[in-house]
Amino acid sequence: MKKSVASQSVYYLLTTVMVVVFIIPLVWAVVSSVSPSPGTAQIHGYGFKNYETLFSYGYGLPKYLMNSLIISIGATALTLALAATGGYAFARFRFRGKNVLFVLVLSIMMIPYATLLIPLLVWMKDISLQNSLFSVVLVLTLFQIPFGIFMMRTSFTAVPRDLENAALIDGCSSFQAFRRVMIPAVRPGLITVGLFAYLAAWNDFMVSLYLLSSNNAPLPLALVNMRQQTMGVIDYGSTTAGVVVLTIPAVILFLALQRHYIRGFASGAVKG
Amino acid sequence: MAPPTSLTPVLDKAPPRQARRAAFRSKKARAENRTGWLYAAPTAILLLLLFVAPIVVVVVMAFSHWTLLGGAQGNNFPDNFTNLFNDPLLPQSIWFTLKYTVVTTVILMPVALGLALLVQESRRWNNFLRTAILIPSALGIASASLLFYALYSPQVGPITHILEDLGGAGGQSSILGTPGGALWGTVILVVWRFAGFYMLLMMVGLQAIPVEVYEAARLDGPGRWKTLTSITLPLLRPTVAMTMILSVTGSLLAFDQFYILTKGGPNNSTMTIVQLIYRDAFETHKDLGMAAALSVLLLLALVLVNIVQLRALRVGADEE
Repeated sequence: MKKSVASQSVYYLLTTVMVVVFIIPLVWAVVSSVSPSPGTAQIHGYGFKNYETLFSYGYGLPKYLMNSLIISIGATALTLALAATGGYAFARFRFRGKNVLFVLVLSIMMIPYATLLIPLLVWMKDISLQNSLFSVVLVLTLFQIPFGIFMMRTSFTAVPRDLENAALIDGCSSFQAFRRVMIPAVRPGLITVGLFAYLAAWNDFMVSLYLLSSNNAPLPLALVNMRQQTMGVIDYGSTTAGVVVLTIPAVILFLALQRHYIRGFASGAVKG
Repeated sequence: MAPPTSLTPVLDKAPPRQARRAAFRSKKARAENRTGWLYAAPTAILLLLLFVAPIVVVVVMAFSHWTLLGGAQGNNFPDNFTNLFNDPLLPQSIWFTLKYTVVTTVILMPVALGLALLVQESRRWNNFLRTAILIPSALGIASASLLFYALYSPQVGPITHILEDLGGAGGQSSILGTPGGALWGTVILVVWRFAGFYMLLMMVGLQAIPVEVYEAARLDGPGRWKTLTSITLPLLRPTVAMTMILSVTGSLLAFDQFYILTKGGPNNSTMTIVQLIYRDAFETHKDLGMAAALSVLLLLALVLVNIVQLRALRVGADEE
């Protein structure tokens, strides 16, 4: 089908406007964070004063970034471990209670965060994990489990059985075959699961709001606290600077692994 | 949430009880059972500790006098529930949550489908377009909310001034200062953040429609609009239903965006149910029992809504 020049130019005009709409808030944040504005640390000329304010706020930016990193890497590692073993169990084995467990895994998707976080607040105290980064890692992992297991089950099912049978005949134990043969075979699936887990943990706000105090806050929680502490006069400068610090690593990771992100959707097991 | 059609294969058809017993008596099956459980054990333990146990605890809490600072103080059923229903904020927040859910879903669905149709064809420009639309999905709802909070602020953000130039209410008051402004400001943020996400889901659905269907239809020479309404939309129904479930569930549980952008204001006009749970627990009542009671009710409501929607979806899938 040939399209007319007029309809082509309308198409390009329309889509260019769309690109601008979706990108410009981010560009604005970057520009605004270094622009002069009254009521911020950057009053005269362009510069990085807002980032200096952010750096020394509260327990310091390095501490919050470190908390964010620990939570994100921890949740990603644990999600990968559980999704790989669990997905393998569901893909390859018949065991008692398999269906019950699978329904249980999927039902995690239906539960409101708040319904779990209220009792977890008490529960974590009982198991001596109150105000600990590890408790957040555990909860964030739990919420990644349905997508992770579903994705890995599909990935493992697609691997031919002959592959692990050959390894088993060669004298590998089941776990050796799993680790040396099966894991490399499902690497794309693992990258997808890991990417979703990392982004969810890096961006998490609600779980840490419920479970952590300000001394253990990851960056998103610290930024929201920072905004609320200066009652009345809100320092928008350091807020936008914080948004930039929070966004850039996520966007870079996303752009680098976009292919895998899209693959996750194709598997039809995504929760936003 | 996954479409139920693709989930059913894992649920092995249960063999008759006797046959199953005989199967488990055999040595090989027992070994498989053991190995399977070894791999499933880490997941099962996490689920038991952080999913099953907390659900039991939340039900106990809903029936108990349980304050934030004082802890458990014994059964008080049905006080938590009567306290909840005596709070005029509850019907108000339910009404607002439903309104927000309808507005968001009604806007997001056509936008996502429109975008998907627009960038569906694989071309270099479209790939770039797709990436641009998807970039907001890399942001958390919290950071996106902070970003829009700054954008809407009269001090540093451009939005207020643009509205002023267009002749609307401007000056030093934020557009988040009125109930309507706060709702629409949040809806715009959510559409910006999620349009790419839902576009991608729609694209997956579009790609599943066989090309032959369109080729066969082309013989009749229908217009573009006719093709969309009489071929694409009916075949896309399962996808639309699934994205709708996601959007409805997500909106019913909205928290971050309102907590950060509007704090439920002005005058509690943008208070959602999940925000009310947080407030009952930490701010106004500091009563975990009440918060637990409300979150149990929310869970039941959500399960109900999902069952209704899943049933509607399954009917749609059977018709194809």
